[in-house]
Parts: sequence; C-alpha cells; structure tokens
Amino acid sequence: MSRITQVLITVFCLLQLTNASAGKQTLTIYTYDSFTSDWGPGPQVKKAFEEQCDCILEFVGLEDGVALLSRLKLEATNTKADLILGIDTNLTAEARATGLIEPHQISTGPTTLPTDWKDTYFLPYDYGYFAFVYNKEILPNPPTSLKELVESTDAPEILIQDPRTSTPGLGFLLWMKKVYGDEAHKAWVKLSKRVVTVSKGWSEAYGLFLKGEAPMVLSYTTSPAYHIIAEEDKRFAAASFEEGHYQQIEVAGLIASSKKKALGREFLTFMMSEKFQSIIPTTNWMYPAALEQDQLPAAFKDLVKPGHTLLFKDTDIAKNRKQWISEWLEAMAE
Amino acid sequence: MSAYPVLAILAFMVLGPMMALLTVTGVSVIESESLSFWKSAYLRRVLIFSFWQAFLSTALSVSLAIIVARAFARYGCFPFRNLILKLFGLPLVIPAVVAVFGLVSVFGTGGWIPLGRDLYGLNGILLAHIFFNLPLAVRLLLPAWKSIPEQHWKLGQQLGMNSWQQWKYLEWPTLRENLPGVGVLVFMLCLTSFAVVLTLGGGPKSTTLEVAIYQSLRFDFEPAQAAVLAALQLSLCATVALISFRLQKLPEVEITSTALQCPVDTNTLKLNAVILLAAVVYVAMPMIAMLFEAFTGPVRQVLSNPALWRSAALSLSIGMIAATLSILAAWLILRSASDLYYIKRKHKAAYLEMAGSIVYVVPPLVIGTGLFVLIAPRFNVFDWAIPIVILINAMTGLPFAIRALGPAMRQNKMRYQRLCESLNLDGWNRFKTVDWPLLRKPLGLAMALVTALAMGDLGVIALFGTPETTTLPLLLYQQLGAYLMSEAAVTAVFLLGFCLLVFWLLEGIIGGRENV
Amino acid sequence: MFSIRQLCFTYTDTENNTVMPMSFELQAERGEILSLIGPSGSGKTSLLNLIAGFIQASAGQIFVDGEDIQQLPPAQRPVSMVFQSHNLFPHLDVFTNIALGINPSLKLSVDEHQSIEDALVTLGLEGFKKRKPGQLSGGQQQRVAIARALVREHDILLLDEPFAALGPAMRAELIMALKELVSRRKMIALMVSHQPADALLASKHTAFIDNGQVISIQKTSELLNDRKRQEIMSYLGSE
Repeated sequence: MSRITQVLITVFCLLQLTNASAGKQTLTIYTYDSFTSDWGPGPQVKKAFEEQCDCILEFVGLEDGVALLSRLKLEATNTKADLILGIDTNLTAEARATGLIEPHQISTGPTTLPTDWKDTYFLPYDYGYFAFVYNKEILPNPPTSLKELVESTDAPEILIQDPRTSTPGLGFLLWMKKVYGDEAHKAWVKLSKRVVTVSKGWSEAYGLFLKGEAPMVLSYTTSPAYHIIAEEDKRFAAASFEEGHYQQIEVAGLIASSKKKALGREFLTFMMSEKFQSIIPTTNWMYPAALEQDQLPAAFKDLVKPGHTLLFKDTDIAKNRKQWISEWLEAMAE
Repeated sequence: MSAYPVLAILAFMVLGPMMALLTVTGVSVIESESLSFWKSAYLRRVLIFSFWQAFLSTALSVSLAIIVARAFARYGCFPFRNLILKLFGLPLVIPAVVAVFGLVSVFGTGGWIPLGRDLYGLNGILLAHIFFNLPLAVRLLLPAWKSIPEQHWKLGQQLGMNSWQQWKYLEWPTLRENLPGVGVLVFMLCLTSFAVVLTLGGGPKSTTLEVAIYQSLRFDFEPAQAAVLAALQLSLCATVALISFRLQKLPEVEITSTALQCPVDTNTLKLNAVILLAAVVYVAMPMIAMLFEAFTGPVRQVLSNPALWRSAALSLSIGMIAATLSILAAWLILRSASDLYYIKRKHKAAYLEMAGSIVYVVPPLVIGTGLFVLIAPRFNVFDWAIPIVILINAMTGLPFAIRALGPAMRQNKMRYQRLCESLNLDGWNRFKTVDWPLLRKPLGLAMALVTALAMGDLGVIALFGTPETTTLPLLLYQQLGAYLMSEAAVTAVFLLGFCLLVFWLLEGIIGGRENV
Repeated sequence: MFSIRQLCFTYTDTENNTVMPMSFELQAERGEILSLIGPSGSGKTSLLNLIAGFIQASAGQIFVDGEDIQQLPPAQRPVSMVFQSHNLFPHLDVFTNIALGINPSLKLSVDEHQSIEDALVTLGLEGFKKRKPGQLSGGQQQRVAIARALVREHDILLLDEPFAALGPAMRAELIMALKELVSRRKMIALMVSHQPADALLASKHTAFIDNGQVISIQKTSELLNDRKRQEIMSYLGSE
C-alpha cells in the first residue's frame, strides 16, 4: 500500500506545482481540448505568447466549442475566463446573446478570409470547409456535386456525424439546407439510404472511414493535408462539390467581466500575428485566418478550393437550428 | 454507520445537482414551447427505443452468460481458466469508441466476419452490448454455482439426474436469486449506453434517452430539460428494477451449508468446451483486433511519451480511491441489507441494494454539470475537479461493487451471525477473523472491477477542462481528435494492458490465493 | 448379502498430498442396520461415498449378492443415501422431493404415485405433502429423506449421521421406525453415527473404523464394552 500512497502524493504534488510561480499576471483562456493537447496549437502558442507578454497563459481545454459555450453560460459573470477561443460561426449569435462578450476593438485588417470580416465581438483565428474525404485508390471517381451525391443512383456510401452532438454534423446539416432550402427534407430522405451510420463525433466517423467502412466520410477540405504532411500518405483527397462548401470559421472573443482586458487584447492582436497564425495549419489542420497564401505549407496549396463559400448568418442559425434538426430527424427516421 | 446515511449522501449527490440544473434556466420546462417537447413523437420514440434495445440486449447478454457460466462451472479446471476470467473483466473497461473500432475490425466490411451494412442497426447494438456485458454477467453469476450444497450434487448423481434435470433442480433455483440483480445491472448499462448505440445504431432511429439528455445539456442548453429527462430515466429504470424483483420469487430457504465446486460433468465435456471456446473467441476477437492494430502503430513513440505515464498514474490513483469509496459505501449498504435479510425482510433488503445501484442511470454529465453549478460560484472549480471525478466514479462503480459483494456478504451473515453472536465477536475482531478471510475474494473482484472501470472511464474530467490533469481515456480521445488514430490504437491497448495488470494485482493481493 | 473387499482410496488434500490411504474390508447382513462408528476423520463418510460412487476407489470390489457394483456410475448403483442435512430441495414440496427418488423427470405411473402415498403414511407424513421443506421441523425433513429412499426400492441404504441434529426422543423414534423398515424390506443399511447409544439401539452389529480401516465388526454391545482394543477405548472415552 505504501507504493500507492507514494503515487498519490506525487500526483497531488504535481497538481500543486501548477499553482506555483505566482507574481506574474495570468491570462485564462477557455478553449477546446484538442487545441490544448500535446498535438494541438496550445503548447506552441503558450510558449510564443509568454515570451512576449511576461505573463502566464493558461488554457482550459473543454470538450469542444459547444461545451465551451455551455460553460460560459453556466458561469456567467463569475467566469474565470478572460478570453474564449474556439467557438465557430454556428454559435457566435448565441454567445453574443449572453451579453458576456465585449467588442474586440481590434483591426480586422490582417484577415485573409475569402469574405470580409465584420463581426465586432469575435475575431477569427482559423477557418475551413466541410467536405467529403475519400481514398483515391478505392474511389477513383467521386461525386462532383452535392446533388450527385444525394441523387445519383450509383453514388458512394457515406459516414456522417450527428448534428445533435457534433459540430461537423451540424455543419453538414446547414450545408444541405443552404443547397436544398425547402427541399432539404426530401434530399435527406434520399441521402439517408446511402448513410452507413451517423456517429456521435468526428473521431468515430473518421476512424470508421480509415477502417474502410465507407468510401467517403464527412470531414474537412484540410484533412488530406494531415495525411500528406504527417504521414506522407497521398491517397486521401477531399471531393470538390460544384455548389460550393459550407464554411466553418473559428473565433475568439473577450469576456466583458475580465479584469485583464488589456492583456486579453494583447493576446487577440498576437492571435492575428504571423507567429500565431503560422502555428495553426499543421497543429489544428485548418486554414489560418490571417496568413497570406504563400506562407502556407506546400500541402495546403494543393487542397481543394471551393468555388463558392456557403455560410448562414449566425442569427439565422440560432433562430432555426432546433427546427432544422427536427426536420433532419424526421427525414432520417423515415 | 448503516446504509441510511450512505443512501442519504447518494440521494444528495444525485438530487442536489439535478435541482441545481432546474434552477439554472428557471422553469422553462413547463413553458409552452418545451411542453411540446414532452408531448412530441420524438421523445416517445426515443423512450420506446431506449427500453426496447436495453431489454433485448439484457435478455441476450444474460441468457448467453448463463450458458457460458454453466459451462465454466461444469468444465472443471483447465489451463488459463483464471486468465480467461480476468480477460472477462476487461471489455467493460474499454472506452466505447475503441470498442466500436474493435468490433468493426471484426464485423466490419473489411473485418474477419464481415456483416457489411447489416452491422449498423439493432444488430450492431446487440453485438456490442453482448461484448460488453456477457463477460461481466459470467463473472457475476459464476459464484452462484459455488453456493449449491455439496449434498445436492451428490443427490443429483445418485438419483440419475440428467443435465437438464440438474439445471432445473439444483442450478436454476440458486441462480435465480442472483438473476434480478445482475439483470438490472446489465439493463442499466445498456440503457445508458451512448456512443455505441449512436455509432453502431446506424442513424437517429437508434436514439436513446441518454442522447436526448446529452443534446439538451449541450447544443440546446436546457439544463432543466436535461435534469427532468434524467429524472425520467431514473424513475423508469427504478420501475423496471422493481418489477423484476417482484416477478422474481426470493428464495424460500437460506443457504447455510458448506459448498464445494460443482463436480466435473463428464457427459457434456465436449459441448461445454465448444461453448467456452465460442465465448472466449467472441470476447477476445475485438481485443485481438485492437492488439494487431497497436503492434503496427508507433509503439515506442507512444510509450516513451511521459504524458502517457503521468496519465496512467493519475487514472490509477483516481480509480483506486474511487474504488475504495465505492466498496466502503457498498459494504455499509450491504451490511444493512443482510441484517434485513437475516430477519427475513428479504424484499426490503433487495430494495436497499437496488437503491444503492440505481443512481447509476443518472448520467455523469448531469451530475457533473449540476455539481459544477453548485460549486462554481463558491469555490475554485479546478481544485474540485479531481475530487468530483473520484466521487462520480465511486457512484458509477457502486452497482458493480454491490453485485460482486452482495451474495457473499448475505451468505456470511446467514452462516455465521449466530456463531459470532454467541462468541461475542463484533466490530473489528469479527471483520478480521470472519468477514475478511471469507470475503476477500469477492472484495478483490469488486476492487479490481471498480478500479479498472474508473480507469477506463472518460467521466466528467473533460467537463472541467482542468489544466495538467489528463487521464488515460482523455489522452486517447485527444489522440483520436488529432488524426492520431494509430497512436490512439497503441494507447488503447496500453490502457487495456494496464487495466489487466491492475486487475491481476488487485484480485491477487486482496483476493488471496485460490482455495483460501 | 453385502461385502466389500480391499476397497482402496487415497484421501488427498487440495495440493494432491496424500493425507490418508484407506483400505476397507466389510460384510453386512440384509435386514439389519450396521452402525459405523469411529473418530472424526477416520474414513466413515468416505466409505459411504465410495459405496455410493461419489468418489472412485483405486482398487477393490463391492459385492451385492455376489455382483460387483464397483464399476457402475452412481445412478446405476442400487443405493440410496440420506445425509445429515440438505437432503431436500428447498424450492420443491414434500411430494415432489420424494417423487424425484423414483424418476427425476417426475413422470409417475399410478403405482408409483401410490407408493409415494404409502411412504408418506409409513413415515407419518400424511397431510404434509404440499409443504415446502422450510415449513417442516428437522425430524420431519429427515423423514421425508427416508421416505424418498424407501420409494426408490434400492437394496442399499446409506445413512450419514442422519439424526445428528435431532433430539433424543425424536432420534429414538426414528431409529425404531427405520429399523422396522429395514428388517421388513430386507435392506442392507449402513449408518454412520457418533452416538454409541444410537448404535446400541439400531444395530445388532457395529463396525469400528479408524485410520481408514475397519478395525473390528462385533455385536454392538460387545464392541462398546471392548476393553482390549486401545482405539475403541480411547474413542469411547473421548466421546
């Protein structure tokens, strides 16, 4: 039993260590778990920012963007967060409605998004497009449009995520809605026959895809970049759809009740800098929101570029999400 | 201390957070828009599906488990018997997403036994639930065979009972005492199964109540609705448990004899061997698939990551503290229950045990979020993350501890209460001389089971997002989320191996040697 | 006529260490109860288990009317055994518990039905046939066990301390009833007992067993007063 006691004491000492090194200002950022993990941008961002700010940057990694927003709502003005980083444009309207976010007051000049950024509350740090990823060896001729995927009789089977539990799942729901509008219900009924399964989150669906359960999986246009850069595997590609791809923009915002707003704004400015932005592509596997094209890794330049960018206004999403989800439920359960 | 303070604490731990969630958004539950939710066809469908799949999964898992446990009991000793029984403690530990991958490696399109699209739907759910629950049920049912009196086996032999008659007169009457408890536990596990049901279920047709709760706490952010849904799940599950105890006649006469292991059944040796082999193959296949994948992955790289070992140490500490708490609570509840049993208040005893177990069906996410609401305004939540994770894991482990310890504690009470009273043996002395030597085996099983379970549980640690506290399952999910599927495969097998080792050590150290 | 020749068995512990080698030699007459007495652990119960076939002898024969039953499986031996406890299945009523003795499938002919009714009467159990064992006294439970042995109509009756848990009056009553039955049906009966008084009451002859061997078979009264044998002296003295 003494060995167990030792382990416990060690663990608790480790926990205490994190409270040490007081004196410096601490900036607390709520984000999602994969941002802070060893493989995410978190560790590098922390190091780079702490070098210039003489402060301590503390990331709190929550399950995902949705959990992040829930946490904010639960804590309200008692929150320990100075900044939140990691909700996407599907959630910004709801986040703004809490009244907990303060306008950022930072120039959006550096942004390199395909469309101009006008949100005065949130600043974008990266973006991507939802897309169906496939293995070129298994599927030489992928569908070239969403319509073909939905309507063609010999379109491949797909793996998607549940819009009730996952961000890409919701993204695809919005994509279908954008393309099909009032016909979305019918389109879902047709598509449902080709859906192998609807997983809880991205990891399950992507894992099943890699195991060969279906030739296509809902993911991002940037996913193949991971395989090319990290695994030197060039078999994977994202299918380019004529109608365009639904966009996801990830943003950060300043908490109104924070007592360290100056430091917070310093971070937001840093976030738009080349230093932060160049960390993003190969850690978060998304397009940086403020980095010129020529500074992207080579693999990113060969990725599918959507002809059109599809995006709903965030207030429309907040208003209609529930109804669209029940429409989806009905169609899929038929 | 008796069961009642423990139950009061449990009730507080469950009801407190649920009340807290109700107050977050006020009384929105009864607003007109929400009202339509409660009347919706969606909720009705979810309810029906939740219970239907849980019922089917339980019926299949438990009846197959009876067949396998019987084969185990009647086959006598064979090499690796203990190893196999330890392996049978593992499936429950495997994080759901990893188990799904393992099952898909076996039954998926490119698998060893390809089922194609048939895998997704009720088939997949049942296959997965049998994989999780059959081994557990075998482990929990097996001791029943040891409590059949030696004389009954001899009578069976002398009267020339065939295998069916032995089953009918000797085994079934003993077994059915334990069946409602084991059945309800498996039912709860299947009812609250989430990622598995969603992913292998093939689409939103396979939505369980647990998914609805998750949805309302997250995207919809209606904590009150989540709390009410959790209460609904709790009360419906309690009803099922009550009915199953009511339908089941409790035993007429207590077992008060010494018992020997059932004699080897030479007539059905081959059949039993086939049954055992089939069960072992079924349970082992997904794990072997995981093993294959791990060996082709970056083993050295993953194992040399200090974060892995830090997570392992953290998970082990959480697991062992949670298991200790769990067993303590189970002990106190069971002590009161066996007191009631002793004075022939058998139904009351059964309800007491059930009350301790049933809290399992309140989703940890609900308890965690509720506790968060209670704690956040007053204290620093980061300091509380680990204690809360431990507490919730202890609660989740409670039904397993109760199942593993219950029958043995009851039997001990029936056999030795009078003797102990007459010898004035009480308190610590009684524990040392009577309870400990006789109960260390089930205690070892309970400790190993709950520790391993807590180690494999993602739990609510992600809810707090505490920096520097990454448990093994959380690390695994981080790897999955970062495209590191092959690293995750190695981590998963490491988690399994680690749990097996812990299982082995705890069962060995606490349980002592065979034949003690 | 019942006899046992050189019946050998080696009692081992859980780690397969030899604890005691046994070798039995014994004869018994029909129509009377042969009592087996001797110290605890001397092999009395093992002897009954060997005869019943619950454990396998390594050598030797068991003759019933000249026929060796040693190779038969337990169910085919003409043997019925009554234990000290757990003779009955607690979830079955008295009638069913007895009926199991005839046929575990419980398919009974009219005659067999009648024989159970008769056995109930013989043992004074009329009116109890629908009761569960839990509702019976210890003595009644043992009567049911004996009734089951009776309906089986097997030649050999083995009794392993069947009355140990009963009071003296009840014991005497049951022994007398049993004695009468054994004599009437010309059965071969072996009864392990720890009470010399029981042996005296039940048996014309008694065997003394010690250390895995039958030391002597004598008239019960003589054996109980046998001052020449040290083992018997110390056994009876220590009782």
